[in-house]
Amino acid sequence: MGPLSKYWEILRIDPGSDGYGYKQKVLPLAAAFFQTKFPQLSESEVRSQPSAQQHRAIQFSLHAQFRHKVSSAELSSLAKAGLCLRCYVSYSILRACKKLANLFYGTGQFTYRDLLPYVLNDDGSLQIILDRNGEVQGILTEEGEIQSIEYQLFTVEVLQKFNPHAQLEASLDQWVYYQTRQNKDLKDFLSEQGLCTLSDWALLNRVGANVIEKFPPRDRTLIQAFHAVYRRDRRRQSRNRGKRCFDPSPAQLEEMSHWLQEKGLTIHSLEQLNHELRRIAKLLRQYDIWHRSGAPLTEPLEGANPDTEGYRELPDLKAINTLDQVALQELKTFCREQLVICLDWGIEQGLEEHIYNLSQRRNYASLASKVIPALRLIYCQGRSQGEIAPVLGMTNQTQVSRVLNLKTLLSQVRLRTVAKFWQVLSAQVDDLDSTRLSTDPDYSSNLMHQLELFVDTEVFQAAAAEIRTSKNRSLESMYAQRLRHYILQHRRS
Amino acid sequence: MLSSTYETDLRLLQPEFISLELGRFEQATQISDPIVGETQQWRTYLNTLALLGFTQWVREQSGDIDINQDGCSLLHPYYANVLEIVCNLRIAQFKVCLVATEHLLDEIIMVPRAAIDLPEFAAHFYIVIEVQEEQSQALIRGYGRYDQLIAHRQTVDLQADRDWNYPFPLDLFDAEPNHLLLHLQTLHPSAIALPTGKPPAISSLTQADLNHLLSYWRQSPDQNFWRSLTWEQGSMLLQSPELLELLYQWRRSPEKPPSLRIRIIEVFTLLTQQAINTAQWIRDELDELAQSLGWFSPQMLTSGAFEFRSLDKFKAAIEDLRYQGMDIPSRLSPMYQDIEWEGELFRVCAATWTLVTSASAPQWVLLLILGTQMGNPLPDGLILCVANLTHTLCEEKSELDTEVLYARIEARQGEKLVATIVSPEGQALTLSPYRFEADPI
Repeated sequence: MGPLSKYWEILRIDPGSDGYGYKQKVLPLAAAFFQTKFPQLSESEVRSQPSAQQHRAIQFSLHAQFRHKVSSAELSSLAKAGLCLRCYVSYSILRACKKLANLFYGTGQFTYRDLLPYVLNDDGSLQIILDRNGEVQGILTEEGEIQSIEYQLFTVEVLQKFNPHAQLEASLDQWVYYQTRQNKDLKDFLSEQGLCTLSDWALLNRVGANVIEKFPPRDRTLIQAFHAVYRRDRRRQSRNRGKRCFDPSPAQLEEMSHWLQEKGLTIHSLEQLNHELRRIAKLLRQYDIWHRSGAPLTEPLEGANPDTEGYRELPDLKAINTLDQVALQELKTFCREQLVICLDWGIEQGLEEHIYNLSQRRNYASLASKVIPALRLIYCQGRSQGEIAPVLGMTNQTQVSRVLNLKTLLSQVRLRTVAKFWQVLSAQVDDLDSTRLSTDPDYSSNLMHQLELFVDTEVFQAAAAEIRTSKNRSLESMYAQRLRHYILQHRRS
Repeated sequence: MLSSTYETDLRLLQPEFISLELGRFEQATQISDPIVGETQQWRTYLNTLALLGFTQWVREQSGDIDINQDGCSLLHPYYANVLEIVCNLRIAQFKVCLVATEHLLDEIIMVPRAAIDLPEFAAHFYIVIEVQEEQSQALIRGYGRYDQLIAHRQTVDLQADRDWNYPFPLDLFDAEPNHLLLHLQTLHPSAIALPTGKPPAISSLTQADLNHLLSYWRQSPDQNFWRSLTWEQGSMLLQSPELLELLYQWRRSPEKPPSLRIRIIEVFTLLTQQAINTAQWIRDELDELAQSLGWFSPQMLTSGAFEFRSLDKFKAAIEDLRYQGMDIPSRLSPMYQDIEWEGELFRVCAATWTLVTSASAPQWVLLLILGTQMGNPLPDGLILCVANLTHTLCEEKSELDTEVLYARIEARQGEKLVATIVSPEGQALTLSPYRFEADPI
């Protein structure tokens, strides 16, 4: 659930910020208020990560103050409590956008950044207060006056509907996710863009029983006819692989029409059938239709152990054991030194593997030897993938990106780096219990997450962002530097 | 840099994806072709793409991890026909299930109850793979450990739906497939305890249920049995590969031949019914089961009774077989069972003895002779067949004025045999099975 600073540093949309699409802004008002309200939270606790339970207690208390019926003299603290919560909620919104975009990976042409404008619209500059009924009353000005507000802030909207008292309600994080998923503008966007790379026919192919059930009987039968004929043929015609689904042929439509007739459903013409199928496909583009009906949240809201529950948000390496600050610092320095060694190893192994895999593929074998020269042009000479295609005798930028596949390469290097790092640490750190590693999956999972967190923070997050940014890559991340180092050495040897 | 001190979302931003090459689709078509029903064919097609993609990925990530597909459910059509997911893939020393899905927009992962609750199919890891068929790619969406799924089921009291699937939330699955690789390399398989033990032999599935199922598939072979059986009944079928294979043949066959139906009933009888221990016959004894089924020995008779006159016919038949050169011990204690069926009064004569051989060879012999109680000839065209779990071992048919049909079968210790009588009209009667288990000395 993160550090306490989440309660006074708000995330706001920032399309220009280095590929992230958002940035952090410190709200002194919120910070000051938070420290007055929770003086017992010491400096070191602020730095480290409170448990999920502590977070929950803080949220409960802030929420109570935000929603409390107060006299006008206390309006200011009401607004500030709300401000702290809005800061926290902004992180959950960001995460919700990432999760949602992730679900559409491969079928839509957008990233989480495209979702942020709809929901991450609070910059924390306004102090909002609610009335007795939980409705937005207005903006509290510095003079203590209440002004009306023209538009709705999504953070406030989420908090208005949140009820921390309800036993079966979600945690605030889950609540924000649910609300984000339900946001009308966002849903419209997802319906528009989410499945845009799929053809109508691919959409019809992928409909399973639970989605079919949501359609009226007539449409259900139409979908079944489509599966019985078109999907059957799609499966059989492996020569059409890698191609988009063709429009159904007249023969296929004819066969579907017969099939339907047997089920007592008469379609007057093949054009009509085609038209009806497209109508259903259009409905299938709606984001809502793919949801399960019934309760929105079926996942456990409270796991058996609230401290480890939720997304893998674990404290830093000190959790390996209770080390004092000095030892912790030493450990971190040791880790950083080792990390570079492991990264170099990972780059070497990952690249070799990458080149080997390429050489094993029929259409790419001849290009395997071009990987290192291509990387040299990109990483050492700052050329773009499009520019280097002719130099290397490749047809176009697409081919270059398929051969290099920088994302896959990165993930191969990452895997090897983490594995190596894991090896080094388990040999060096006495506190690791090696028997437990092989017998307690939770223990080893936790450690892996922590290592990965460290490695990603130090190296791979920046590297991934760099690769995602298509224009004006800076290529200054540690990964880029070490890759460059490897390529230059490779030339010498 | 921002927020980097406490969160890493690398996998949310970039799931692990695998490009599926052309050849994969051809393989997937081949493997899914023999499956019954378009829906399950498509399912199997996706499952195959998931399997091929995933194994390719594992090999690329770590060439030295051992992958064994021999027992993989996908490669056995009778399993692939009834299981929605890929079970019994072995990677290193772990059992792995692959859950292929076409989308995750509902954030629910459906795992068949069989793949969690039955020892045959339960796995250490359940790996979610999104197959994007039109884009020719597969994404590794995450993996769940058996112990985590079970813990979740307990915490929220999760029940299987009416199609015998557990709906697990996607959040339960670790989105980082690298963790899986590290687990495979560092964890000991015993660290994740899987269910063990066999279900009770006597199941709640009756022959009437089975007949119902066979008729049901005559009408709609495409439907699985989820909604026509209880879980207990279905799980018994899922744990009986021999029966499952025959049922698969039944669904596939357009003609639905009577011989297949008989074979199914035979295997069902062998699997579900208690077998008579014929080892005791050597000492002229009948076990309780045999007595309850009406078996008797000649010593139990009052001599000269009218209805037992055909006993001499059977003795003569045995002498005749000896004369023809059949190896039958001189001391023999035949047992008898009377059966009234299809308007006829049949009598079965059976005898057993042991063979002195090496351990792997057959160890006992069952001699079955079918005649009538009155000594008159059998109906013309009557068939006697004897089978074990895997094969029909012999089939004898009566001709004009045949007095007895016989079968001599050699079997191994512990092996069960079952006899079926088929009337000239095609009606079949499967008798209780036989076994031979010598008392421990």
